[in-house]
Amino acid sequence: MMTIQTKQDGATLTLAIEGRVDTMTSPQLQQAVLQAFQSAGKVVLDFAKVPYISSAGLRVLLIGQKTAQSKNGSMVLTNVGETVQNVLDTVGFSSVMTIE
Amino acid sequence: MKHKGGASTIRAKISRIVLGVSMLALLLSAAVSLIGIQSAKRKMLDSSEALGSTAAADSEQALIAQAKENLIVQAMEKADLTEQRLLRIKAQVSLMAAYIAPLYEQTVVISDSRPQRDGDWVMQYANVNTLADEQVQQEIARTKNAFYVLQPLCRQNEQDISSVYFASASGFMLSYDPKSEDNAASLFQDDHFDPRDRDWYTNAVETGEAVFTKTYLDVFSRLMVTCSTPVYAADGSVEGVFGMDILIEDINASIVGSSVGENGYAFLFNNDGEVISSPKLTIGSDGKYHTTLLRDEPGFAQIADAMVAGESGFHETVGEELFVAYARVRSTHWGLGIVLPRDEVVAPAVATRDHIISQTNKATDEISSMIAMMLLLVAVAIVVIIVIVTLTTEVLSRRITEPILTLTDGAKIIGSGDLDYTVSMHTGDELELLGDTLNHMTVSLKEYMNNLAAITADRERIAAELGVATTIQASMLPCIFPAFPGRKEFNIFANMHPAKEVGGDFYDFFLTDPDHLWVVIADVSGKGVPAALFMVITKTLLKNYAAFHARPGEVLTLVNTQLCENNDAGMFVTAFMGVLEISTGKFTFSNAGHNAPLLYHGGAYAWLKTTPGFVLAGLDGITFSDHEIVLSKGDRLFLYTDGVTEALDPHEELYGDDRLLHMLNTEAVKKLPIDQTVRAVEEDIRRFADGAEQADDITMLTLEIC
Repeated sequence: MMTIQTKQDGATLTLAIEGRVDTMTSPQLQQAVLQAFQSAGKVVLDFAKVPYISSAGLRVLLIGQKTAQSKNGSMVLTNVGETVQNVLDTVGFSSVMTIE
Repeated sequence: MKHKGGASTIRAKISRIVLGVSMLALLLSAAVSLIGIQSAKRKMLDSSEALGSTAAADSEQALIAQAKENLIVQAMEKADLTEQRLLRIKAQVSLMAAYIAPLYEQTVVISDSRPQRDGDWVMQYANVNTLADEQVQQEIARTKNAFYVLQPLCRQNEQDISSVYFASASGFMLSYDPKSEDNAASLFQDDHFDPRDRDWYTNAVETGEAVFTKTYLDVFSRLMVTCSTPVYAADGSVEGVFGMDILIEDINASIVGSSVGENGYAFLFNNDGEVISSPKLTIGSDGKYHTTLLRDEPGFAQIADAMVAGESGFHETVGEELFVAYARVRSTHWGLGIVLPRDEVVAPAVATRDHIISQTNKATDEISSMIAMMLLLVAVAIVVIIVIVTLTTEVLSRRITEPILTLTDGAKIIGSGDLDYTVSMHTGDELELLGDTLNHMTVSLKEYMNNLAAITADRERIAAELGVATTIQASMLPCIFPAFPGRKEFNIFANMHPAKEVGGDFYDFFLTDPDHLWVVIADVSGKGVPAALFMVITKTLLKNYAAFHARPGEVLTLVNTQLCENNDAGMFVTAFMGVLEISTGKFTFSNAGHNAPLLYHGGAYAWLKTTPGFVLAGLDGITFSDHEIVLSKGDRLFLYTDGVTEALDPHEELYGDDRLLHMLNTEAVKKLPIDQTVRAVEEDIRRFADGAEQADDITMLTLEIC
C-alpha cells in the first residue's frame, strides 16, 4: 500500500512517497511522476518513507529521468534510505540520477 | 427447505391467523354475552331476594299488626265472656240468696231430710256445735226448706256449680254438693272450722252484695272460686251468707279451653299473679291441681306486672317469639291472656317469601340452563368455524401458495441449469411481477453466462499461451547438467525458479571457443509476456554479440545500444556477464547494474564488488567497463538475481545479503557440490519465506574451477 502527498512550491513539485515501491505500487508512482512533470519543471521525490524499491520501481525512476531530460527539466531523489541507496548503487542509478 | 404442508407453510400460517382471529371474536362476544347474562342473573337474584325479603317483611308487619289487633280483641272478648259467666254466677247467687231470705222467715218444715251421703245432691251439716239450741234447730230446718227450693236451680246449672252452701250467722253451715259424696262422712265428723271466719263470709257481709273470693284450693286441692252474698232478715240484719263454689276447671274447659290458632292458647290468672287456668295446667298424678306464678314463666314478668295492675294490652316477649294479648276480668280482678307463637302469625309471610325465593331459584335455574345452552352453542360455533376456516383457508391459501410453488419449481428448474425455462404467471399481482423478474433474471443470467463463457475461453487461451511461453522460456535456458560432460577443468550449475508464469530472469553459459566459457545472469524489469519477450531479445543479442567479441564490456555496450532502440516501454535489464579463459583462469567480467556476485576463494565466500555500470536499455550511448580477476583451482563463483536477496518472509522482511553470505559460509554448505549448494540456498529461502508467496524469480548460477 502506498500513499503519495504532493506539495507545489513554484516550479518545484515535491512528491512525498510512503510505502514499498514494487510491482503492485509502481503504476501509481509512475502516474504521479508523469502528472507532476506536466505542471512542474523540477520534480522532487522524497524517499524518506520508502523502505524498498523493486526493479519495477527502478523502471519508474528511469521513465521519470527520461521524461525530465526530454522536457529539459530535472528529477531529484531526496532522503534516500540505506536499503534503497544500495539498490540504486547496484544498478548504477546513483551515477545517472540526481540524489541529494 | 421445509416440507410442503409443514407447520411453517404459508397455508398453515394463514389458517392459524384466520382461525385465531375468528376464535378471538367468537370467544370475546361469548364472554361479553356471558358476563351480561351473569350480571343479569345476579341482578335478578338480588332484586328477587330483595323483593322476597320486602314482601315477607311487609306481610309479616301486616300480619303482626293484624294479629295484634285480633289477639287484643280476642282477649277482650274472652275476658268479657268470662266476665259474663261470672256475672251470671253472681246473678244466680243473688237469685238463690233472694229465694233463701223469705224461706228463712218460715217456720214450716217442708222436709225432714237428714244429712245424706248417697250421691247426687245432698245436704250436709258443718260446724253445728250449737245444734242443740232450739232456735238453731229451727234455723237448720228452714235452711233445708230453702235448699229444697233451690234444688232444681242447682241441677239446672250443674255444669257451673260445684257446690252451694249457706253459713248461718249462728255458726252452722249447710252445704249442697253433687260431687263430694265420697268424702262427706269424714268431712263432717269433726267441727273443724267456723264458716263465719272465712273470707267469702266476711267479704260478703262487708260489701253487702255478691262478691267473688280469690281463687283458692279447696280441701280436695281443687282450684276454686267462691261467689258469696249476704242473706238479710226482714229487719235488715244478716241471717247468714250464701255461697256458691265454682271449679276453675269448669271455666277453663268452657272459655279458656277453646284453642287459639294451632299452637296458641288462652289463660286466666288471678290477682295474686297465679295462673289459674291454662291448657298447660293439668291435674297431676296425685289428682291435684297445680297453679303456677305467671312471673315465673320465662318472659312473662312484665306482662304479669301489667296484668296484676289491671291493665289490658299487647306484648311481644321471649325474643318476640311469643305474642301475648291480655284483658281484665273486672268482677274478679282476674286477667285473661292469649298467647300465640310469632311463627304461626308470620307463617303466611314466610310462605310468601319461600314462594318468591323458589320462583327466583326456578328462574335462576332457567338462566343457568340458558347459559349452558349458550356455551354449547359457542362450542358448536367453534367447531363450525374451525371447519369453515379450514376449508376456506385451504382454498384461499391454495390460491396464494400455488403460484409460489410454481415459482419455486421454476426457480429449481432454472437453478438446475435450464436457462431456457420460462415461468408462466398470470395472477395479476406481485407474484406475477416476481415471475416476470425471475424470467428477466434468467435472460440476463443466460447472457452473462454466454459472455462469461467467451471470456473464460479467452482467459483459458491466454493461460494456455502463457503456459506455452513459460515452456519456451524454460527451454531457452540450458538445463541439462552436467552441461559440459567432456570438460574436467570446470563445473557449472544453474537454476531458475520462476515466481509467476513467465518471468524476467535468465541465465546463460556457452563456449565461444574451447578456451572461452561465457556466463550470463540477468533480470529484466517487470513480469509477464513483455518481460519474457524483452528477455528473449536480450539473451539472443548477448549470445550473438559474445561470439564476435572477446570482452563482456564491449558486448554489453553494443547490446545496450541495440536495446535502447525501440524501447518505448521503458524496460531495462540488469545483467552480469563474464568470460573465463579456461587455460589461464583469467575471468573478465562487466556488470550492468546487477547484484555483485560472491566469490569463493581461500575457504570463504566474499562479495566481488566493483563499481557497477548502469542498467541495460536504460540510457542510450552508455559504455560498460571490464574487470579482471584470476580464478584458481577450487574457486567458485556464485551468481544470483535479486529474487534471492529480496525474498520476503510473512512479515515482509528481506532475506538480505548478510543472510545469504552467512548461509554460504557455513561449513556444511561450503563442502557441498555446486548443484547442491544452489539447492541448499533455495531450501533456506523456502524456510525463510515460510509459505509467503515470492514476487520475483529466484535464479542462481555457480561456476567451479576444478
